[in-house]
Amino acid sequence: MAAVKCSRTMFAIALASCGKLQGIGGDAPPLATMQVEATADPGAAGESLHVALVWGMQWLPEALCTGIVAPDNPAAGSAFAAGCRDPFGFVPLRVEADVPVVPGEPTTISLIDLPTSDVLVGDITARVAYGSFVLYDDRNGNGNLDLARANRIAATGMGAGSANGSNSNLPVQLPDVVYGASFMTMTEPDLRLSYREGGFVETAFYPRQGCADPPPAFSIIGASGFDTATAIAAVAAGTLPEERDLSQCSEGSAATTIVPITTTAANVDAEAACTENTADSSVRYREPKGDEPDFTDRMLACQHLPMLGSDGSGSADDQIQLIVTGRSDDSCAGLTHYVLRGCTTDASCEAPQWDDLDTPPTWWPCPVD
Amino acid sequence: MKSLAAFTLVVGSVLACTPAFADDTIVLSPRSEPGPYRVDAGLYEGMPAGLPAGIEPGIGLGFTRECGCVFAYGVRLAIAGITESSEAWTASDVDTRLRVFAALHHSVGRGELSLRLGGGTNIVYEDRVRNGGDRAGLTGDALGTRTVAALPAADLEAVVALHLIGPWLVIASAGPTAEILNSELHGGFVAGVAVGWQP
Repeated sequence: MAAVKCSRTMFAIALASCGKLQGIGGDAPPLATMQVEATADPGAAGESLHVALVWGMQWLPEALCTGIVAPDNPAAGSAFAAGCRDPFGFVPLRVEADVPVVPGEPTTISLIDLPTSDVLVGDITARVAYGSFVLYDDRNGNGNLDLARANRIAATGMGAGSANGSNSNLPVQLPDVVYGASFMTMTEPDLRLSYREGGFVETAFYPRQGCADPPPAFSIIGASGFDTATAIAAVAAGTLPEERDLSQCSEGSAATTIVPITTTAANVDAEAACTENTADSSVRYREPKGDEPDFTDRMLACQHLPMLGSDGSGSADDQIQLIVTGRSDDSCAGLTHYVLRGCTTDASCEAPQWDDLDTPPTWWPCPVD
Repeated sequence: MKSLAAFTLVVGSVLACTPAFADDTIVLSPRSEPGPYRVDAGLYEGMPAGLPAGIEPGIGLGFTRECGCVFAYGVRLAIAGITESSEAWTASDVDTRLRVFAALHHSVGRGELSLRLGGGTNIVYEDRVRNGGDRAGLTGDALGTRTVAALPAADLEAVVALHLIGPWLVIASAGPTAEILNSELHGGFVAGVAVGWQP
């Protein structure tokens, strides 16, 4: 009996000695894998289709683009339409992973790193990140979805430089062609990647009001989307809009749920690759100083400064601003704001950085009083 | 480790210059004729066998038998642990170092200088965890692995011992070590300070 025990011990030691120590080196296995599938082939010549996982940004549209402020005139209405992105749309913050895809075939996309704290919304006990899978043609061949920004006009007067509204070096034309995304807007059905840490608190960060909480860690969740009118009313009331059809709520495994990406026409869904410099609805105002800026192929409109009342309705300040859209061929929508008196971050500031009300530039197209 | 090596050198220099106290010194007199057996225990530190960097602290034990005035042999055991991280992994290693050694030693006054050559095995228990894996919901081998490996190893240490009071002595040692890790030679350094008892 003792001999048997001894042999077992020796056998155990022999087995143990066969272990291969790996230390802190070696390949890092993915923390999560997801399955994506492009529903159709766009059929572009020489295309190189990829799917990118893009983490979403917590973003608030500027007041003029919320749908709450009514345009002062038809030109302003047209400028809102051309210069405002979907206020309920998905706004990309960071491209995290990328994989080549073949239309009609599920493809695995892997995540090596957890989402960083800047894409997580909430405190450390309950935070969440959402990601959209963007189908695109990698036209510049860099194997990555390149984000773009709105083409706002650079400031020339007070506050020039930091106030140009485009502190990044991102291009205003998308180098790649976007053919769709699994999560484009909260007003349409979507499937998104969810990453949850700790508890879950429903906030206005891409809400799915009425659906079950996202499971902990990575998962693929879906929602029907909500109606725009309902959402605007809910925003004005300070509540979250209910999903249109709760039967479309879904919570699935990240590894096994296949996420279909409906192929759309080229750059119809370009906003999926349009990021924003500011996330808090703030506006950078410019001084209309010097020569007339290059307004070629841009729409101009005059609009009172928005001043949102406590009831959410728009009431007018006495100053009229000039709003300018991007060019018609820009990839991303955005407005440039000019005021005759004000500060870079507040047109109604008590100590204006500039005051040109008495001497507006000759090209100023809006009423002065 | 550097401080330990410096300590070893200083003690060695002092020993070479300091004569033993006279036999009638009662308070701090070491045993004039210590026996052949010595046990010691103390602090150990060295580079981990299974990791590329770091200094792992631990404890060391030893048993020595002296044969005549120049030769000794014995066994030693040291247990030490450390945790190191990279971007993707965190590995916690516990090293158990078992050695059979032979030593040449020379007495200088109440001190003793030795060169100790030991051979044996480093039994390494490695607990390796994928960073962020628990937050990502990984389980099983995808989250982490536990491995035990026995690595052939050898040390060459310089040892300085100082007989203090009666059977008690203090011992410092340091030197290079090497082991075969995943079929490759892996070098390192070990050192220790111990209190010995030699009746």
